[in-house]
Amino acid sequence: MELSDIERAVKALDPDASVKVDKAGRAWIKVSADKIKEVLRELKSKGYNHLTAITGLDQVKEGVMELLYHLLPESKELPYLTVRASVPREDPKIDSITDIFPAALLYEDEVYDMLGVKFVGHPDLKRILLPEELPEGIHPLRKDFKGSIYKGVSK
Amino acid sequence: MKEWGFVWREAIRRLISKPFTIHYPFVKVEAVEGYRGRIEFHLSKCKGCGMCAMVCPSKAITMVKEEKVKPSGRMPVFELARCCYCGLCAEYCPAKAIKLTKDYHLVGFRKEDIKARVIP
Amino acid sequence: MSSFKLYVGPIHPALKEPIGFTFEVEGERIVNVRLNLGFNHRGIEKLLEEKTWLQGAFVAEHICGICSGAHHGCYCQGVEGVFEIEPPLRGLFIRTIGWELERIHSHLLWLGVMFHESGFDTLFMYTWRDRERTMDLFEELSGRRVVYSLSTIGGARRDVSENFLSKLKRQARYFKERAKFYERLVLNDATVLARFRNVGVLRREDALSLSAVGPTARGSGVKKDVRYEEPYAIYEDSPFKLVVEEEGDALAKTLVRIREIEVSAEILEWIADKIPGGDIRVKISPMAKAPVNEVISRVEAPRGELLYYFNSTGGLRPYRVKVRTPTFANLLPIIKMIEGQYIADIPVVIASIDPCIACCERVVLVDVKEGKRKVLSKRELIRYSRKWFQENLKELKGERL
Repeated sequence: MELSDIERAVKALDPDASVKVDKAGRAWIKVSADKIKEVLRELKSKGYNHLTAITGLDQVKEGVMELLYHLLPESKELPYLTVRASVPREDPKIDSITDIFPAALLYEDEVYDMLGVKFVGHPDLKRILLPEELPEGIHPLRKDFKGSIYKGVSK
Repeated sequence: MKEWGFVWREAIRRLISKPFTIHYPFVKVEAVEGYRGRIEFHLSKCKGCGMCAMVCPSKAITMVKEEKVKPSGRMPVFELARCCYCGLCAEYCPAKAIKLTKDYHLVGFRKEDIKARVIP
Repeated sequence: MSSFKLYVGPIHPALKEPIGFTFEVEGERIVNVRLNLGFNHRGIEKLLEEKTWLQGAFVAEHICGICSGAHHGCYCQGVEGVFEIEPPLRGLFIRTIGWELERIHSHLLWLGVMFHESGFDTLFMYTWRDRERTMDLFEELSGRRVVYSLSTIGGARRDVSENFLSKLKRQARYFKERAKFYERLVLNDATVLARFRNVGVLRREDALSLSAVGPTARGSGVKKDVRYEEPYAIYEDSPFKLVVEEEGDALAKTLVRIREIEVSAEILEWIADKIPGGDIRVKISPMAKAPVNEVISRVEAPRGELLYYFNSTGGLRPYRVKVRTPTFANLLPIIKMIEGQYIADIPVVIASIDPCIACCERVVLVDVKEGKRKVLSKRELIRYSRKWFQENLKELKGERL
């Protein structure tokens, strides 16, 4: 199993995907957001069975929010992999992957809490780090969030 | 296979040896050379460049007007309640006017009582 | 059998991650658990976007008091990747002294906490007395006992002397002897065996599917360690050995951590012999501008894999910094480990994944049928669990010993 087999398998599912390897030897794959579940299922069957983290990134200039899924392989031959997908910044929504990787439960809650991305199909999407009574629309890690606007809980 | 008397032997050995604790307020303990404690500032060496205020991670240094300092006419004021004792100000001062001493008794009844030592 | 809810609340001001749990209990056995997080959230990821590249290292080390060296070193390693500079070899050796000494200090602290939770306070005193020697070594190496900023962007901050290296070798031999003593004790003492064996078992399939990291995963037979998969700094040439146990209960996790103390002491002895001469750092201005780049930095902290992601669009400050701490990845396995255990096993199971002590500070017992509430503090919960074990040890003897 080598990186070129993985590249072929991913391009068969999503022809617009791009794969590159950086100087430290780690691989970065870019796919479109509606194909994310099939790509991750295929990668899990090829040996990437450990989801380490999910990062949310707010790219204001391009008008998208990027989601990065960091995966680890089972054997030492394959490189460390990151899969990225973009969703539009107004009303960001993407499929949840909790049925493929159960570890994604807490990571997706954190990205929803901090950036406001909704995961369709998540069993119990709620705020975990900030207080649960905070109203919708307050997501601190967005670039246009002005701090200290929370004045108290309104009933 | 369990070993009997193993913990008893260790307990008796510790009973007859001398204790490890130091009775601190009654016995003076000195910190080692190179400890990062209270800040000491030499006003005569300062040039007023402001490098310490730019480098501080916790914004504990502010520059105020002071005519004795040549050429820029400013000197730093240290707020020890915000300081995290990292030592970056001492490391990046070009005139070596800031030093972190071995004094770790940073206690007082009010925040204003904890001050840096300023040597004119 | 009436089932009622047990709230194990988050209130403890002293340590890093206070967590609240809600247990659903039937009789004395636990059926389900829900997590309640976020009591110590300080907004550090947003704060790191406002500090320069050098200042951020000294903010990141204050995320955790016990593994502050791991956070500091991982941040500096990541920023060196963004600027594309290579620190010299002597600087990397000094950084690794900090990492391995911190692993010994964190495992001794955790061992004391486990013994205290199971009622063996004498051993809590013994392990914390051994830990004092690591703090004296840190005071000489870097100037502070707890949050020691050893590295900087480009290498290490202070040099080591020959005197310090011979002291380090002597203390490494002492730590190896003490690790052998604790291993003998844990495998032979009846109290410890009754509280740890077959308690909180995490099976291998669950550890793989829930993505556990660190000694929690290594105690269940999963070979996961950043120093083994992607060796960084100087671990490629060092006498590093991977420590793995098969059973998955609290006793296996204890043995993994005690053996890791021995492996760390051997690495320290090797460093004291083989450290090369030369510079300790590469000079870089504190107000330097970074190129456009994207870097991931991974380090093996005492509790598991620590991950930092940096995104730079050029300039004095980072655009995005993401921190994923190892305890956050180990929270979901608690749900699998606690099913079917007794209430009196709660302190030991939660402490075996090595979180802060803060999780079990205040317990509220609610009897749903009669509507009565009883509040127990942490000390009373430990006293209750010790008394329960004294009364029921004879019946459990077949199961546990």
